[in-house]
Amino acid sequence: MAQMTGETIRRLARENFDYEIGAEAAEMMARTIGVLLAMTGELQKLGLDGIEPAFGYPNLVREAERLAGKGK
Amino acid sequence: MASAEMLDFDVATLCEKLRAKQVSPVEVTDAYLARIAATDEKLRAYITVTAEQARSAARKAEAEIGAGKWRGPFHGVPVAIKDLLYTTGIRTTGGSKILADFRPDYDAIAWARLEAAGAVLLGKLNLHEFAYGVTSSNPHWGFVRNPYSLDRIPGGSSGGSAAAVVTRSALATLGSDTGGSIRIPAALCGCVGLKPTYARVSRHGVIPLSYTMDHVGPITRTVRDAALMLGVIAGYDPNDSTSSREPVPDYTAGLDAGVKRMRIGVIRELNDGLSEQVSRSFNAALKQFGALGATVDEVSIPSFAMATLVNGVVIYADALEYHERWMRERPADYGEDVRRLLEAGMLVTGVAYVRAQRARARMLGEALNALAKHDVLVAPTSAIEAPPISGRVLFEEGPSEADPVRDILRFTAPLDCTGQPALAIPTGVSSGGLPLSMQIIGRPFDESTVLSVAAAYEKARGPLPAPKL
Repeated sequence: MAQMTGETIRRLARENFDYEIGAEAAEMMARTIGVLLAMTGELQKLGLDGIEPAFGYPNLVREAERLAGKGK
Repeated sequence: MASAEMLDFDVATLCEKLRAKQVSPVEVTDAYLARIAATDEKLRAYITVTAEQARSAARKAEAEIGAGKWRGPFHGVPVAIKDLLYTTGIRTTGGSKILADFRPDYDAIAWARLEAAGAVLLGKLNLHEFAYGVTSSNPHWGFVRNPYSLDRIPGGSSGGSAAAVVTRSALATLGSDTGGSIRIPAALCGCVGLKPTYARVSRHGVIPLSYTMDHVGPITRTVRDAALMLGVIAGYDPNDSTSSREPVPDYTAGLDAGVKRMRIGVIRELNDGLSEQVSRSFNAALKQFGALGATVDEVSIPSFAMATLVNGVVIYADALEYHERWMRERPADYGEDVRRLLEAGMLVTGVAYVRAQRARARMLGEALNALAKHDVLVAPTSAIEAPPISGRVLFEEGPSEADPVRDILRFTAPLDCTGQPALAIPTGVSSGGLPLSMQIIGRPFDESTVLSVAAAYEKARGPLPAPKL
């Protein structure tokens, strides 16, 4: 993953969230959070083949039933 | 009876005295309200003190107990709750400026169950803003102080909940834990904090930080009190779609069982980088388990090394999803550190989020393997003692070798990722007089074994020195 820069962070926030991050704060975030998020690629090393995220259809059904029980 | 004596009772003892009518709920409530008045200007544990409601609830409890209508161990017991839990008609701020005037029209289920059990609400407790941080240095409602050293943090995010229990300005409290927010303040303040299994206690009516990792649980003076409180608040709730239908046992039933012939696993990945004081105290606790008849050996859970990353990615995304509207409309109303964390959430990709969620299954799988041959696992709760209050804003110094937040979170975050029950219990105090702590970790929904092991250790350890405040 390309290194995150302060300007990239400001552009992402502006374009995706219509939100302005200050230049100084963005530079600090680039040094810390940028590195952290780039590291998520490393999670593959845990051996995630065949593992699904545990969101779960039963939870979806229960939440839908709860909402249906409320009438709307 | 003297106020000081009443304030020293744990829940189990006060319950006996109340039931026997040796103490009245009104006088014990007044004693706690006086203690809050005497300490909280310094401590800043409370955001709202509900004195009138407390006295009214105490009078009602007194009348009911007098009439022989006994509701159980919390009847007439003064408690307080983290100001993240909804309370009908009572200000619920989340420790924020944004919700400074918010008065919910329903109760969080955990509080509703305590209230139905007869508990008396003393007030709503200070916390790290929106539960998003570990210092409880709250820019809107005051910096919560550590009762053992007022210039140090109490930990967070449930800092007020732990500080109040230790200072005796509440008998027991409710907190919440997403990266360690029950166990960290319990560790740094020197009390018991129990993060139950995910879905064991309803999250309904709790301001969310992360939908898939928020846990509600007790912060108490003793293990028995934690067991009693969990027994009241645990159980299925149709208002929380993730809530479990697993039966709720009597958590006090095995508290005297001891640890003889039990197998206790020390998690290798959470047993390095400790301060000298933490290391010495943790090793002494392990020896204590051996002396009590347990077998102690090492286990490895390699994926726990990635837990801070996994926990962080999930919270970044979940928290921003909840806060996005306010971030657009009122960004200046957030404290600087929380605003920066929410801004960081804007950088999390869908790929990173899903991958982090998948990694959680790997982590729990490895933990269950370790528990196949062990009754419980143990680790320090924090690598360090309570650090000084610095007011440092997150990220301002960039990645560094010395990072107190990392030194705390990496011990607690793995168990939020896996959702296992984990209890923080004091192991003593440092040479500087600051509390030290370890975690006892169990299989999902096996809080009973965790509590049983903790109770055996607590009995062998003996009492801790009282804080100065």
